[in-house]
Order: sequence, then C-alpha cells, then structure tokens
Amino acid sequence: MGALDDAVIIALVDSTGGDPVESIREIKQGLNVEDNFHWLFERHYAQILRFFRRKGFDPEDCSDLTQETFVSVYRGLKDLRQEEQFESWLFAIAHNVWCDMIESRNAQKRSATVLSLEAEGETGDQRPLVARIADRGADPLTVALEKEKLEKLREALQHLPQQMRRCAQLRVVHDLSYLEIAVLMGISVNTVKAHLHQAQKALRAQLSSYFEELEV
Amino acid sequence: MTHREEFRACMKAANPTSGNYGDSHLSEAQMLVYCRGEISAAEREAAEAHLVGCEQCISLFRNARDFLEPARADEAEVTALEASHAWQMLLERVKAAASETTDGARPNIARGDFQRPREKRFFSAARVTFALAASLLIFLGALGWLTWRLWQEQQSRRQSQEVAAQLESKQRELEERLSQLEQSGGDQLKREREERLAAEAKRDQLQTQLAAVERSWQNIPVYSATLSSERGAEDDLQLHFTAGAQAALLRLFRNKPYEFPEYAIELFDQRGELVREISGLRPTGDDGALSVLLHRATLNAGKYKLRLFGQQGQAKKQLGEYGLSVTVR
Repeated sequence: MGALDDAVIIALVDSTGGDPVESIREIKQGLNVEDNFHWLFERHYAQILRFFRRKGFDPEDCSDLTQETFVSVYRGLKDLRQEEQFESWLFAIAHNVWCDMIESRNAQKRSATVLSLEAEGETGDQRPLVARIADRGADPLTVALEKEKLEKLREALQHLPQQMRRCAQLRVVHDLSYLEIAVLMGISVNTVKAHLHQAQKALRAQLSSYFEELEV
Repeated sequence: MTHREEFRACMKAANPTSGNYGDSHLSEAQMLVYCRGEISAAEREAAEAHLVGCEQCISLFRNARDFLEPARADEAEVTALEASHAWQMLLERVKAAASETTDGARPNIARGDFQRPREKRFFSAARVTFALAASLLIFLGALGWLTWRLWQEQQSRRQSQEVAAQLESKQRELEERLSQLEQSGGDQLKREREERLAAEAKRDQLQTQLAAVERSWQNIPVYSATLSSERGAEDDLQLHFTAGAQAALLRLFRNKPYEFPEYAIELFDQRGELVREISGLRPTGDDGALSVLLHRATLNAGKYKLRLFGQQGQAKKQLGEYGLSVTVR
C-alpha cells in the first residue's frame, strides 16, 4: 500500500456474511424485525462497545452507552432513508451518545466544582488563572516581545514545507500521536517521524533565542 | 506554564487555519470516508487543511478511528455471553419502548440521531415540519403586520384629511379677517390722512399767526431813555420797552426832596400836547426819590417831554434840575 505500509489498516471487514442493507429494508417493512435487528446488533455490538471503552469510560458506563446507542438505532431505523449509509449513521449515533455523555459530565462538574485560582478555566486558555490575571497587567515591553515571538514563529512555520508544517501542527497543537498523524495525513509513521525531526531542527535554528525548550 | 506549554500555545496562536469553520466541518460520514481513504486527492487535501486547524474535527477524527479500528491485541475481547446478555437487556428496553410508542408516546429517536448543530445537510421530517410551521408563522406574522400597516395608513390618511379640512377652514377664516383688517386699516388710514391734513392746516395757520406776531413784534414802539442821568427841565425822555416789558419805573431825585410837600409831573408828546399828568407825588425812602410807574399800554411809541413841578397848596412851580433813573419791568 505504498506510504500506508506502517499505518494501521482500519477498513471494517464484514465477517458475518449477511447484507445489512437488506436487513434494514426488511426491518423498515416490518419483516423479521427482531431477527434482523438481532443480526445488526451482533454485527456491531463489539464495535460500539470498543468505541466507548476506548473513550475511557468504565465497563458499566460502556455497557449503558452501547445500549443507549442501539435503542436509538432501533427507534430511528424506520426513518433512515439511505440504508447503505447505515454504518455512518451508526457512527453518528454513537458519537452523539458520547457527546451527550461528555456534556452531561461537564455540566455536573460545572455545577459541583468551585473554581480554583490554580485551575484551568473554560476559555480554552491552557495557562493557570493566576498567570492569566497577571498577564492583564503585563507591561508593553513584554507584550511587544510576545508579539515578536509569535511573528517569528509564524515566519518559521511558513518556511517549512506544507506536509512538514502540518505534521508539526498536528503534533504540537492537537497532541496527536505519530500513528494518528500518519493515518490522518495518509503517510507512514516513519515519514511523520522524519518530518517532525526536520521541523524541530529548522524551528530550533530560527527560534532558539525566543523559546527555551522547543520540542516537536 | 512550562516551556512546552508555552510553545504549544504559541503554535496554536500562530496556526493560520485555526478558528470556526461553521458548515465546512466534516460530518461523521465524511470523516469515515476520509479515514477509510475513499476520497479524492483534492477532497483529501481540503479536508486535511481544515483538520490541521480544527479541534472539533480532530476530535471527530479520533472518534472515527476508535469506531473503525478493529480490536487490538491489548484490548479485552468481547465475549459471546456478554453480547447475548446485552441483547436480552436491549430487547427488553426496545419492547418497552415499542409499547410506549403504541401508547402514543413519541419515540425518543432524537438523542442518537443527526441532530448536533454541526450536521446541517440532513433534512429530517421534524425539521421540515418545523420549517413549514415557522414559515407559516412568519407568513401569518407578515400578513398581520401588513394588515396593521394598512389600517395605520388609513387612519393616518383620515387624520390627514381632517387636519387638511381644519387648516382650510382656518385659512378661510384668516382670509376673512385679513380682508376686514384691510378695510378697517383703509378707514383708519383715511382718518389719519384727514387728521394729518387738519394738523397741517393748523400748522399753517399757526405759522401765519406766528409770522404776524413776529411782524407785530417788529412794530413794538421804541422808547428812548437815558438812564440815571441828570436832566434839565427841558430834556427829552426816551423810554425803550423790551419785548417782555410791561411797565417802566421812573425815579426822580432832587437835592432837596422835601422842599415841597408834593410834586407833580407832566408828559408832553412831540406836538407839545399834554398826554399825562400825575400829581400828588411824595418823596419816599432815604433818598427822597419820587417814583412814577408808566404802563406800556398807556403810552404810544414816540418821544415825550417830562416836566417836574413842586406843589405847595395851590402854588405850582416848575423845577429845573433833578436826577432820573428808569427801570423797565
């Protein structure tokens, strides 16, 4: 597969031998609803359960969320117009269930947590609140230096080749693993590693006076 | 903040493609297609460029990977027993849900369906219904608003007409008043003109009178008089009356004023005729002066001769030397 030699092949293989489209059509027509739905359940149960497990929920929550997903599937199946898009639809449902769960947990945290001066806020700013408050009174010289530092970083990034720059951004900004970057960009893990090494070298050469520790 | 965190924050800020992409976010279906590699090079490039700067889509990418990736060696296997148990539980829930549905309750499909804000390409029946209801409401609202506007316009037109009629009647009234004023003003003007003519006539008359007075002033008699001079018996007396004077006080002085108990004076005109005789004059005061008051009205203009006589009983003697002073009043 060329550049994808080191990437994990993630294509889903249908090993059950049935035709989900046909099953869904029969369910929509009211034919063998339980059998067909059971077949769909068995075909995707492990996949959905794994999905929630990989999200870090405890086993009980994983089971509940999987149940919740399939209940929604059952209820919405009659309205699914493109049967061949079932897997995408299933993913969307599982993703929404996950989003709802995350939102629910965040809401619980918000209602129960007292904001700490050392805690991270909700503004997306990664710095502690103390540091952000201190920054409001930053002197103009500091502000100008920060601005200059940012401009230099922008310039340095622009000088990198596009693929290398994207690898660096995905790694530093989004904290993606080498494998994730490789899958996302459709390149090998080794290529990702090489790109990141080169990017780090180039950025250090240009920005060492601005950043004490520059690790890509 | 560590140096790494600082660098990360700067990279995030420097990322030119970060930000909100609205509808250009990848959908779940698109992401699955992207992860499977079933996508054209151009689409892949566009998606990749977006993903680099979009946290939301990166999160979806991770979820898609977790969804698509088969079981790893380090993951616990899902057993058939576990699946069977889960199916039994699901069956109970589904049957319960089905009975709720037959009871008329609306199925809760929404939770798991494509209803997150990022999904905008799918038009569910609920959305269409909502859109139709919203359109109907908007239409009704617009209709109501238009009706209200029309009614308001009619009202305002009616009010305008009333105001116009009032203004017209007021204008007529003002025109009438103006014509009355013009008429009365004409009368007044005429009166004033007449009064002015009368005043001018009076002024002319007064001017004429004044001229006559001035002329008469020019004709005021002039009396020659030498004041406080020693005169002989035959000396002339000249009296000059000024414009406002009405009389002249003559005072005659003698060295021996009490030589005679009484004195008399006689005034003769130029023709030698006696025009005035005043007798019974007695010396008065310390200086023993004889005072005679001559009124202007009793004398005509001209020259007069004055003769002084001393009287003692019936005897009368003309006196030659005396002093005279004249005071005109």
